[in-house]
Amino acid sequence: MTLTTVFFRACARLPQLRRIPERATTVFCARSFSSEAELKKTPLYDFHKEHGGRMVDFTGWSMPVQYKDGIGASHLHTRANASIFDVSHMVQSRIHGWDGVKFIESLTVGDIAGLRENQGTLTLFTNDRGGIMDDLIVSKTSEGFLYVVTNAGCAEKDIAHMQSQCAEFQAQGRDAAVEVIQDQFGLLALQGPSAAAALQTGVDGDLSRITFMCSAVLTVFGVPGCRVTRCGYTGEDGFEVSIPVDQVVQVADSLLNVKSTDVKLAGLGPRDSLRLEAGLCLYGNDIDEDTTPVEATLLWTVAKRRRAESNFPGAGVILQQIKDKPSRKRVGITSKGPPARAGTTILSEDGTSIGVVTSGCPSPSLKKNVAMGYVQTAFAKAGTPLKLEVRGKQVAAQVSKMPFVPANYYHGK
Amino acid sequence: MAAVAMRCARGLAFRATKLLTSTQTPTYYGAQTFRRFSRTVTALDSVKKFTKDHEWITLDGTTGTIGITYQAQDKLGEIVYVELPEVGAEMSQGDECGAVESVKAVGDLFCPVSGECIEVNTALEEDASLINSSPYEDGWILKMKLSKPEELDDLMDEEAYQAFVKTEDS
Repeated sequence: MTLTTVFFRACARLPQLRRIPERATTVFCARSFSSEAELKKTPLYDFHKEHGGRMVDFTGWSMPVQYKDGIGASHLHTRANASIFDVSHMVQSRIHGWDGVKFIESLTVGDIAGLRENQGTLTLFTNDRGGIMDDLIVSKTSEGFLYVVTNAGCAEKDIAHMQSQCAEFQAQGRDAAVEVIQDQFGLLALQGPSAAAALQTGVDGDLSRITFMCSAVLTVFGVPGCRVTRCGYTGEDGFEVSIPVDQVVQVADSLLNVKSTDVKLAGLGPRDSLRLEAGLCLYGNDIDEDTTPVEATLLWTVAKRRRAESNFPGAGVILQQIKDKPSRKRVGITSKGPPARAGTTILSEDGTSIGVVTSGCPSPSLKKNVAMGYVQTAFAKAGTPLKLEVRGKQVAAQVSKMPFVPANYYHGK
Repeated sequence: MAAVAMRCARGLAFRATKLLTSTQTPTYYGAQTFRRFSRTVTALDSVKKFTKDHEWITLDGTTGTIGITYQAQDKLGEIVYVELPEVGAEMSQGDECGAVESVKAVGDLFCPVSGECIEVNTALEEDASLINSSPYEDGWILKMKLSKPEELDDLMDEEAYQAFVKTEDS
């Protein structure tokens, strides 16, 4: 057998990925891309290797895809207990200036001005065609700047975009500046039902006061100046912790050693199966420059006020699509038998091609296959029977609501 | 917001030695003797050959039993689905005859030799992870009636396969 691997188009081929390959089996990173020595390393690189991490090339970074337990076990452990994911490869930035909020709003679709202090939101960078340039989290801090986290796979594109737009903004006499802080801080995602209990052992303040999408700057396991945001990419309760770069290992190690919980390291493999079960998009697969928030069923990110003001890139296209309804929609799909991966053709019951799968994998939690894809709007209703063309065979499937696994976000007591 | 890249060809864990010597593998001398002197081997003396695609085949008369190697299942991770070939299908050496899937990876199966598929391991439909726990015994995938037994000569013996795995690792 050839050991071809399914992984996301996002690997080292961003930002132009659009056409999904006919077959989901794809690329040997090893042969095509950088040698180990040329890959960028997060502050936890040695830590991963010491803990048995199997390192792979992800968009030019050497990242652990899994540890000794394997992807399925790690996935289930996160849902039952807690796992740490190293996400230091993602780009952390700060937006400074009196007009910082106006600046970030000029690039995104969200109501950033309406955020409470230390509250954050998922939002989207859009392009002039109404397509999604990236998905990101923006938090309004009480320190006077906006804290922004964007995708590693879009690093060059996003930084160039923010900086060039900021230069134009400044040229209009407005006050905003972009500071990329990725070199100063690492980022850990601690996710799972016992994440709060584990983190609480290292924090003095009461974490139960931080609700979903809110943040605070805390001393974590003796390390001051850590921004703790209650958010994640798994559907579970959890935190993303931004830690000064020299002390990331210390925090990770402390979390692994908390006696009252069983926190384990997890890699990008389970990170992906977890987010898919949670119905969360992966940029480069499920959303890209050619998909609008309307098609992607992410209309909730386009705030009411912003629609009324029509003041974001591609607003005209998006608003028109809201009126006319999009011709295709992102849906969840469940099936049994051979898993349908990205690129699988979706057929209606009578065998007509009606769409394509953009992400898919066997679900360790549900013991069936889950997938996301785009179908013609007429077929987008939950329960609609579909067929998936996997390796020449037609597999029965159906449209399913997402998330596939219920979310457990913490909204307070 | 992260994506996964899995490096398949590199980094194969070479932990095979212990496992392989614990299965019914003949000694290297024995294997060479069989190849030189006899094509007809008894059930007790089945020779295991390997392909560059990480499949193994053992021969019992003209019936070959085929599966994937320890290294292959290790690389895939926990196997959740096996696409078995059709019983009765005529296949040539190198034909794609099925697939083995884990959460993050798909391994295509290629016929190591030509012949007719006479049996498939339906136990894998209930528990695909048999391939992980027992890649050379309970995790066998298909049996074929060989039409060209001489094709076995094209394949690697165990020593050659282990050496091949080492070069893939580096």
